[in-house]
Amino acid sequence: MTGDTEKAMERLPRTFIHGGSRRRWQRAGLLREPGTALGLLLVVSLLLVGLVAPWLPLDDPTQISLSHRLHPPSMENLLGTDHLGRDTFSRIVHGARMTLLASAATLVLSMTIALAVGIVSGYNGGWTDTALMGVVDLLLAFPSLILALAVAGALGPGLFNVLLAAGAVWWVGHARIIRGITLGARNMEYVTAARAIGASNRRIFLRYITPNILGPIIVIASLDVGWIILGIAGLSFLGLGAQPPTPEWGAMLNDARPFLQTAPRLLLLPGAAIFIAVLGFNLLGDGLRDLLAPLPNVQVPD
Amino acid sequence: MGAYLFRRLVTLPLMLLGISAVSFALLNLAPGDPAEMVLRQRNPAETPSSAAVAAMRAELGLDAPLPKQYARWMFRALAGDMGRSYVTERPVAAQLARRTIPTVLLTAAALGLALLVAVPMGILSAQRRGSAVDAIARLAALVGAAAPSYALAFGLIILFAVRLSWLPALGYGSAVQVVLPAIAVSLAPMAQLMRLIRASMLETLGQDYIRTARAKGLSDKTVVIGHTLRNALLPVIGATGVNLGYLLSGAVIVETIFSWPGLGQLIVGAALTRDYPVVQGFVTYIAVVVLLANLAADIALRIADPRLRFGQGAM
Amino acid sequence: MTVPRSIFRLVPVLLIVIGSALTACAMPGVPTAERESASAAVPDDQERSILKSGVIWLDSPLDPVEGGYVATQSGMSETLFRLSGTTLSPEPWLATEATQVDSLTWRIGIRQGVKFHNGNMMDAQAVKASLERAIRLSPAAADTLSVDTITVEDGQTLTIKTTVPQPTLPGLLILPALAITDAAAADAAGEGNFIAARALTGPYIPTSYVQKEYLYSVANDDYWGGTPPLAGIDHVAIPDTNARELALQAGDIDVAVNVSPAGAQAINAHPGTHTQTSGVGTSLVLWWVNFERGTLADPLVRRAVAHAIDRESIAGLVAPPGSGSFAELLLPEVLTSCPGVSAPAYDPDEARNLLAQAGYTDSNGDGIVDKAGQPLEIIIGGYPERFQLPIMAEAAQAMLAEVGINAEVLITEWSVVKEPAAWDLFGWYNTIVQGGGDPVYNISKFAGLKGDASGSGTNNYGQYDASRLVDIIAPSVSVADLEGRKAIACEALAVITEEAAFLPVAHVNHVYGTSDQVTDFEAHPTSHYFFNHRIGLSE
Repeated sequence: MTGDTEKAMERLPRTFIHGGSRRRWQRAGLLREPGTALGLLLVVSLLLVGLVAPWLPLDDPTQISLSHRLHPPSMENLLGTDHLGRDTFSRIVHGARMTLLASAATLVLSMTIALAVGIVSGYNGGWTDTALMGVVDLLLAFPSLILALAVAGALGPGLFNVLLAAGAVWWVGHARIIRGITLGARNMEYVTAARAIGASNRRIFLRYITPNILGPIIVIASLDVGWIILGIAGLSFLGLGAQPPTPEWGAMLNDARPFLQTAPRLLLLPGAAIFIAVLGFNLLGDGLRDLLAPLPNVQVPD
Repeated sequence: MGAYLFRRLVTLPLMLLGISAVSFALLNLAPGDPAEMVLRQRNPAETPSSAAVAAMRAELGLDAPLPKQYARWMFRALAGDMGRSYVTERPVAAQLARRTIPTVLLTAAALGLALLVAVPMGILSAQRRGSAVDAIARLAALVGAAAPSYALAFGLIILFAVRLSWLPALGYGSAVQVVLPAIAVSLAPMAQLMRLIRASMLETLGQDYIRTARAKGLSDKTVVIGHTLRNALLPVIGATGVNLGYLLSGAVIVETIFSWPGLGQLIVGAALTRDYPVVQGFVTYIAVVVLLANLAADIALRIADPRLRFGQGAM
Repeated sequence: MTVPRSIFRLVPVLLIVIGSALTACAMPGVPTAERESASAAVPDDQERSILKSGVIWLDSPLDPVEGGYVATQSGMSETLFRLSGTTLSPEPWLATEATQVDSLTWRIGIRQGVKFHNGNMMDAQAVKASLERAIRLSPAAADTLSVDTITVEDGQTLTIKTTVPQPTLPGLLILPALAITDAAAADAAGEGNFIAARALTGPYIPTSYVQKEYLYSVANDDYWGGTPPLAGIDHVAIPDTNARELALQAGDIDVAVNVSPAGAQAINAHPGTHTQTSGVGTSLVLWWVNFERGTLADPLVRRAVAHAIDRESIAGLVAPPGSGSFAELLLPEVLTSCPGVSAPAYDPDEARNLLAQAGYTDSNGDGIVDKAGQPLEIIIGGYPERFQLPIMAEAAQAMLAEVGINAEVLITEWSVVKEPAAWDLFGWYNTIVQGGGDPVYNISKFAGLKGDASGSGTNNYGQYDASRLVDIIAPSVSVADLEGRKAIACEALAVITEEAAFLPVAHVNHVYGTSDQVTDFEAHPTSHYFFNHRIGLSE
């Protein structure tokens, strides 16, 4: 099964798991690495902007003004206006909020499923494990974006449906990693000892397993946000996600397609916003992994 | 090796069965009555009568119990019959077959491009760790992983087709037309491969036998090509399934932008119209392809890597 | 180490070979074998070029009786009469003349020297067989004509007797479903094999067709109107407006049908391409109003919606310059004789009043009006291929929010309009010259009636109850002169407007992008005829 575990881990955008420089970074602080510092800066600014967006002195992102359409950037509209005269800057800023909310919801959903499946599978072992991991192996054959597209299509267009679809397919790879970690922790000597002296499952779980899983989960989650942002914006771009007038980056890209030649900034700006957000989370995720939780090379006795 | 192969081949039908079950479930997840959808498609003017819907349900075999429907669907699929599209009423299998060639061309060009860049860059950046080359490679990998293929596609069109007029913006039919979409699709797998190759090169370079080889006074070139490269490329084979997923996912979105008449365009249109036989057929098809590619990659890996043959990997 | 090490030395070489081979290898191009059949015999064929055209859809079968407007659009099939691009009235095409004998009888003269693509002559007998086949197989054709008998008078004359008076029969004969086909050949070829029958008469002969993808044709050198200067026309479906515009600029296609105002700007700025615009707008973008879902069944709410949307401003967004901004279900030219009819003016206050009258108030202060605890929510549908519709929907959404109506935008497939449970307003792009420009026919079709209001028609997506219109339209069967028919149409339109049964937005011109090489292109104001036998390509 080793091969399969590795495959599951490769779903993560790793920089250099075996990179050698890991230990050095581990000792160094998070901010010592310039990439990580940049990532942290980007993520924190994004979170801040997303949180306070409704209270910023910005135009209403959904307020149309047909006499002010397709205006180039000016003092009044920092990034110009779109095809309905809405302020692009305001829409990008509110888009950050939308993107963060959507990604957070997807993350929570997929993590919950991944944790439930991974822990139950790893902790119980036996046929439960075999059955659950069988399902996981099966689902790994479906590229997640394509499966999400199919599910979102079935549920109908809408941001909420896209969250459900993305959450419902995203957990698969993580379940395998969490299962491996759980299994590794369970088989550690002190856990076996605790079991032998009759500690309850609950106690073993909280006391010994949880701390082991926590680090990797934070790492997986932070590395994941980038992919989730890309996926959700992609589905919105295809028309399945956020519906007008919701300021969402993927949907903004789709809206701007007719103006590819006459107002390319309407495409380039949301594209750049997605890029920066994903880059920030990826950098932070890489840094966190090196610092916090070198993903254990779980050796799973089969 | 034989035991492993045997095990994989035995589980293969089980996996295929599972895939078909997941795909079948997709159809039943969709709200709305397929029979009614077909009737409305045929005659938009009137709301179909309940008698007509019942008759169509019988014709489509939707009145049978679910397990029976599933069995019927599966056996037909085995025989290559994936049903007919609700929208065009054409056989799904034929549509998939016809759309496969453009998608294979696009993904193959993208993969070729990704390897062409990622292999030398990965090797160089590992060899000269900490150098400017390494820094550029790592930066490129970061950028590649974070750039959304759909926004990138528009950027490429604006720059190379509209502003510079170097390349056609879209269309299908000549070799130059594949360039822009292939670049857009290749970036994510390129970044991924570059990281993978660099990491495994670094690991291999640290191995005892490489140090021995160097100590023996073999030149850098001999060490890299003769000893390191081979082991370093193994993870690339191992990541085939993952990369195939990236490539296909990228192709789905990029094809719709470049009017590329492949599977991606088909599936996006089908998902938006809830043309479920097409979605179902496509998802099944892709899953089977990924499954088989993974199997092939695993076997190739085991042939190429003796450690896996005799070591941990043996069952 | 059973594998020879040398294999791995090959890896980089292999990668380069694979990569470059895949990137550069010849890709399957346009199939050429199929087009040889018709043109191989023509000696100067090498000098004639193939024109490539990009259209939104190629989604209906070629056989006219299966709803095939595609064959008429692409210069393959022809009808007895066609709609003139300048006068917007019917003019003879495969017919030479039509005279009304009595209220139920018309005599039609058939053009001499017309051959079907298979070489058979088109005479009165063939036209009779073709019309009878259409009536047998196409409900739309049968509904339109109400034919009693068709009699062959002599070689090139036939008489059509109808069951109800049809004072505008020539206009009805422009219906694409009534294009003249070699009925015996079409029936003999069987379903799905229409191309093989070579049963049409136009300047181009279809050779290969994959619906929603491409339609290839070769010139018909025996064409009655003269030999086409092109060797053939390749039509490709490019549903995305932007993609079509880029394809034209890139030189992938020579003609792009239906370009957007933004695209037109880019095309005209681009060297080697320009746009051609039809003189009048005969297409209308409008919203169907759904009476079945309930929300808009209340006339007060319908009128409130009509007053809340600034249709004049939206028309400025979606219509190319020069299009009429005052939009109704009739041609602007007809409308001028309807002095009593005017669209509800943009008046948000009036909209709020009407909503209040209907019992909707914002009782919980969330900005959305409600009644009995139910917020007023409507869904505005549309399909993406007509670039006007998403823009219209989003603009209306914002305007409705101003008066407290929460609107959701649903941009999806065209076919959703057939599911009345899914929308309240559905954006739609339609012609207003149905029935050959006859105003009565046109308005009856919009109202979901047959052309003479003698029954219900086929396109009543909003389930509008047109009972008030039947009495107004029914007398039209005995009115043949245009002024009289205009008056009837105006009266019907007044009722439709009062009931706010449709929300018309703008008349739009047809804007075509063409390369500068294209010669003699007729920018026809309808989507009936994109290509004729005169169009050519200069070197």
